[in-house]
Amino acid sequence: MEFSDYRHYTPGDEIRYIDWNVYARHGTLFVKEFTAEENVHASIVLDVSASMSFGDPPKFEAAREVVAALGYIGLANFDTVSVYTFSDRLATLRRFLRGRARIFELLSELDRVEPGGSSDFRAAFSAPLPRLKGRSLVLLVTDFYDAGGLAEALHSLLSQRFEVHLIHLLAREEIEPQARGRYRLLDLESGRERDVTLRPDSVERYRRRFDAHCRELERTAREREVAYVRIRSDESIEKRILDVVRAGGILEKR
Amino acid sequence: MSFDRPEGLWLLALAVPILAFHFYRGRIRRLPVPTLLFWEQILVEEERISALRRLRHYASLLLNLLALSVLTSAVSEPRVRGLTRDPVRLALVVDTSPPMLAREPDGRSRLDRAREEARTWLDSCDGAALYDGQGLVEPFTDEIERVRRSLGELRVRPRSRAEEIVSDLRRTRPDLRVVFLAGGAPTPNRGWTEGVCVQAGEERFPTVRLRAARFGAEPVEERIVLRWNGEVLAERSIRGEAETVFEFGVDPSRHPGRRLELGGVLEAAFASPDAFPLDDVATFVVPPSAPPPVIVFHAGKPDPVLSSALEALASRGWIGERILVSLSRFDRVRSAIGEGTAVILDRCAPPEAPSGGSWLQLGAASGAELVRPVVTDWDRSGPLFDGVELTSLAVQRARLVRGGRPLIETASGPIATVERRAGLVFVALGFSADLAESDFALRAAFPLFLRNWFEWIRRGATRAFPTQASFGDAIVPEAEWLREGAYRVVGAQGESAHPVRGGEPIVPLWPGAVRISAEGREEFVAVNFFDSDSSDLARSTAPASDPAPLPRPWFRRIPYAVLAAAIVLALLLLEWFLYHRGWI
Repeated sequence: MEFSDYRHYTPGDEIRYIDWNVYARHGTLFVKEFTAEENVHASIVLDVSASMSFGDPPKFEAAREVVAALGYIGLANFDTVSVYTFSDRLATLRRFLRGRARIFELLSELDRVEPGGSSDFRAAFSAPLPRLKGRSLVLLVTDFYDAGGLAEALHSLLSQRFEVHLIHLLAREEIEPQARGRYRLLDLESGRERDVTLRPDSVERYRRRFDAHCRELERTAREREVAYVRIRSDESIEKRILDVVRAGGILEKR
Repeated sequence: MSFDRPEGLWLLALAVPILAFHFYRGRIRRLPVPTLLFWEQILVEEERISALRRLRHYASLLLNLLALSVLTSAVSEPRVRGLTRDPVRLALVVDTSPPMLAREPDGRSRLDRAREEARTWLDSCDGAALYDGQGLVEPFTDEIERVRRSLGELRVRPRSRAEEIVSDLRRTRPDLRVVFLAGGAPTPNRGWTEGVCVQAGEERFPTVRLRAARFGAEPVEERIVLRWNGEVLAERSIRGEAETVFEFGVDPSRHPGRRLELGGVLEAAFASPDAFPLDDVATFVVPPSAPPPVIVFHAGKPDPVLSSALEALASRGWIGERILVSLSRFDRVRSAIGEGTAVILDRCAPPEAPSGGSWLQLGAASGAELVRPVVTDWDRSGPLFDGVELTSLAVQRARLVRGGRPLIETASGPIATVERRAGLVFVALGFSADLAESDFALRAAFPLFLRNWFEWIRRGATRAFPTQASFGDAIVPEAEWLREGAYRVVGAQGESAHPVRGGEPIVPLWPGAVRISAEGREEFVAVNFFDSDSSDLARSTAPASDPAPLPRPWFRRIPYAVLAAAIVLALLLLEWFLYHRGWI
């Protein structure tokens, strides 16, 4: 147990934690707060489906940087870090890494990963994810292009008593498509093609649907009391990491 | 259907690239997307309305072709029977004869009415030329505003040949519709048709004789107001018969204190104005009836013969006050030298350029000396030598006189001249009254010559401009006043400047006294409208003209090219708007 902060006394607080010295000086009751060191196991799951290769810079590059940074934060705090990849199945990249020195091992593994295949949350998270005693986090870095399976995947992870953090990675081009005219659209995951004429009104309709999709994800996360953060691949790594850390309260909850 | 400019139809060829662009779909580009999920949902939506969309797709093509059609029509100018009208091209002829200044019952002049009517015609035409009573004012143009401006600047001028211009135009310009704007309803009128200011040699003062005429109504008693230098002098009555002569003697003794003897401007006007005010006032510049004052400058001692000659003339009332003064006192006397002063230089020359008066130099010392020259000729018909006989004039010595018009000639050259300098008259004799130089002073011709000179001065010898001018005619100087610079002219219709070289001639726009001034001097010119033909407004010779067509509505006055450009712009904006709203 380590002292962390003071706060005003509220009825129901343990009387033994009141700081009487402060009361003697200021006449106001303050109670001391403590944080307890505990073993944290962070499982970072990286989406490696083909859709992650979209964007300029590609979402996958940005995702890899985020995973590396989160992994380093965990290792630097002597947490246990496991990194997994998934598309239509879950694959272990490295498990139960501990200690700052293991970061290089993690980075070289991340370097070898290439995006491909289509994402399938249901299949990927059908089997239980390995976990250790104590607090277990799952940090899911993905573009969520299999919304149908997400609910089941979340259900599975939450039932395994994981604390889940959803990190939604987007490219600027998929939020605000700039192309106009006739195009043959190629689905990066399924390989299917479709001819369309991108008119201002079509793009506007796309934008509305995409926004609805993002809002739906947020709502799903909120209903399940799961942290959700949206980051963009064209933002700086510092901003992306700060957004993730602040939104998820990852540092505070350790 | 026909086209004024069929070559403009080539613009329709632009339809080919428009159609090609519309139907050519071009190479389709591949665009990777993370998922087709959302696009497919949109495509499903759009397919539901695809039939309508296809129609809208053609709406874009239609708008483009429509814009091209409008542009083509603007360039090729189609003519469709019943839809477009033939262009109206006019030749507007406005009569600018003096009767056009007659006032209509509403108070406006006929010229103003004609202008208004002409503007109505201009509202309905596509191009026009403008003529006045003298000829072409504005050549044919489609800039109607220019014609309007010229119309506003039209002025009445005498001797209109508008009817001749109309018949010429009808013969030579069949492409133009000739509109003649002239005359009006017959108007009863009375006015002055003739006038003169005369003074016979034996009379002491001038008399003004005027002839009045009445047209188109019964004779009535008319009141005449006489004004002297702008102030009422007297009132008289005349019976307005068909022809009535009115006389007025400018007798200073009957109007003491008004200084009629010094000369001035006399106006005779009908007390009540009529519809044609142009001939209601007659104006005269009346010369002074008083004998001129004389100043004699001498070199030190006045010539006794000259003095006795002047004394004799003064005793007969031919000259006024006499001042004999030494030239050394020129500066003291110069302020007394007025416009009508006679100045004699007896064997001397003025120390500086004179600014007023009429000058006679006896014994001019400018040229070569001649000994016993024989007079070969003199200005027998001129006013200075009226009754003067110089046949046996014995001149002992004289000097040649250079410059000016010769008055007395010898075999060697002139020994007497008259010259105008800066508006003043100089008479120079190359010999004096001294008996040692000639026997001129002993002859009866000498006082006669002096009397002629004084009378010549009194009757306006120093004037550059005539005392009378006809309305509408240019007032031109008869003698030199200015060589450079400009005359300042003040008349009944304001003030203007008229440069001597390259300037507009002085043409008063209204009868009356016109004051012309320059270099500190001024002269009055009486301008009168004495024209019984134009005064008789009961006659109307103007042929009947078509009534003016209804003016075109405002949008028909906009040039079609401008309208077409606006339509094309609107169509392109509409297409842009519909495209961005996703309707096409």
